[in-house]
Amino acid sequence: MARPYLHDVNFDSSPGMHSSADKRLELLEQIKALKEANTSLINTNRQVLKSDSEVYQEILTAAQQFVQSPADETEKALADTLEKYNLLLYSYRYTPTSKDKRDVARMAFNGYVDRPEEYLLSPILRDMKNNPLKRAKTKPDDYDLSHSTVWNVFKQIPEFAATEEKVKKGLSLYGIPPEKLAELQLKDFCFILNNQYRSLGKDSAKVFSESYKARHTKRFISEYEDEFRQGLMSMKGVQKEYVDALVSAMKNGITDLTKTPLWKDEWRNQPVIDVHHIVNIKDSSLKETDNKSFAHINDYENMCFIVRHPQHDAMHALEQDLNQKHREDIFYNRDIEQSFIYRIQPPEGVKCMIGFHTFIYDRDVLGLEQKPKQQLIDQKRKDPNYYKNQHGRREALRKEEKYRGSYGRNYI
Amino acid sequence: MEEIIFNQIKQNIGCNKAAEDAQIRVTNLKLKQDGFSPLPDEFIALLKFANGLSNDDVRVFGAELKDLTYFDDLVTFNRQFFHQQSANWLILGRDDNFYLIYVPSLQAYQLVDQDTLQPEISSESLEKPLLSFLRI
Repeated sequence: MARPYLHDVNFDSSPGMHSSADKRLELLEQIKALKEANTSLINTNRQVLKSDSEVYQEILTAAQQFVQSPADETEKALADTLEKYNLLLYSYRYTPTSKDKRDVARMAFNGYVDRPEEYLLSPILRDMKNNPLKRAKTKPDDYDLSHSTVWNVFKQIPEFAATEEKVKKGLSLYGIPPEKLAELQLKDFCFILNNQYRSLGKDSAKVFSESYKARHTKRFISEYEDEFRQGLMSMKGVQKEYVDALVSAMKNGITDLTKTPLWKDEWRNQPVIDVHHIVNIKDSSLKETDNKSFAHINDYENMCFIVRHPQHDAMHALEQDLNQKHREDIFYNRDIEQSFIYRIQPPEGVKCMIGFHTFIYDRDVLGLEQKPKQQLIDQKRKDPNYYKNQHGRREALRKEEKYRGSYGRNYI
Repeated sequence: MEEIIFNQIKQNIGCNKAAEDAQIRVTNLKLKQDGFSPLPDEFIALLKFANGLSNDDVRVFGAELKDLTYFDDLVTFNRQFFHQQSANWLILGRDDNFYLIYVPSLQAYQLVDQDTLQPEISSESLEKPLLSFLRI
């Protein structure tokens, strides 16, 4: 199998590009050329590229222009600016993902089960917990967990599904009447799981022998160690000793060095690596197509390893700004069916972003090389959430006064 | 917060070195200048234990931390978040889903959802929301 490639590309030097598919093809051609020439542009190109903070400012300016004057033109300008740095602007018509699904996906990703305070438990569990005499005399086998909508969410994560017997035991311990199972909430299951594992002398996190995040980190570093090292070392001021320690920690599934004995205080300004969901965990319901589970949100294919400052923070900060109106819509329960939510995503196939100019591509990208150019472009255009499909639609909605903009207002 | 909590944090979480009084004073001055409330006492005690905490995506901000990547500066983040305008609450930390905030009018620490800004946990003491936020 061919190896993935690490490269720097200056999109500014690619005039005449019109869509991300075009740019991706351009990128692939450059990769191919690099492969044939057996050279790297990392050091040569970086001198002529804008610094990461300059890029951040450029993107921020475009975002502010859009937020202050929301129109198709400013939106397009923002999307084009983002595309220059291989980031895509998506806007989804709001499709809420239930909080249960978001929380369960988040717990699996972090390998941690929330420990709710007693006041957050549902009345039935609180009552049984505090009044042992009221408890029903039940056996674990009396419970059919499929009657619980919450459990039906939990069980889509294999590690949670494996706790079924422990959950039944916990329910029996508190004497929850089987017919009341449907009243239990997510916090109740978390409470029961924590208690079950604590009674075994184990930490709650042991529901997961390994978090999805740790598992993906190990896989990434085993597949891309050379490219990752090369990319980090191309950043200004990065110490080799730090990169060695980081790679070593990542082989153990850890990206935050501060938690390890390897940590040195002088590394406080070294680049931090975050594991980013390409499709946001808050949009898990978007994964529920073709009878798939929301749990696919935590798949390795949906992960991008990204330098925290400024890329990852910038992406989330921009989303916060762009979604001011959406938050207002939700808060006031207003025009929800017309509400758009903005997300900024790296394109599929980007496995790692080290700065705004350096990317490590997934092997799958090589597969795209085989596809004709037109096929790639058509594929992109079919994506209903890609912003270019929405050109004109929002303007029409505004004219109908169904889409009253209020971007300029300070939400807080 | 009790010593036992600090020990629990130290064992599980990445801690920056303790904040100096000068750093806290400068931060309070900047907050006052920008129209924010000053740092609450319990949070100051935390800063004097560790000037910034880090646990993967979870970050509790510190005082006067410039150009650091593992630990974020509280004033810088709040200025950026509120676009240089004053606000009736202060963001003390963040992860990918929640903000740890202090609401002076309620004298309460809260964990709020980033999408809805609705409180998940609210307490007059920092301990509960902090430990939940740090996942320990």
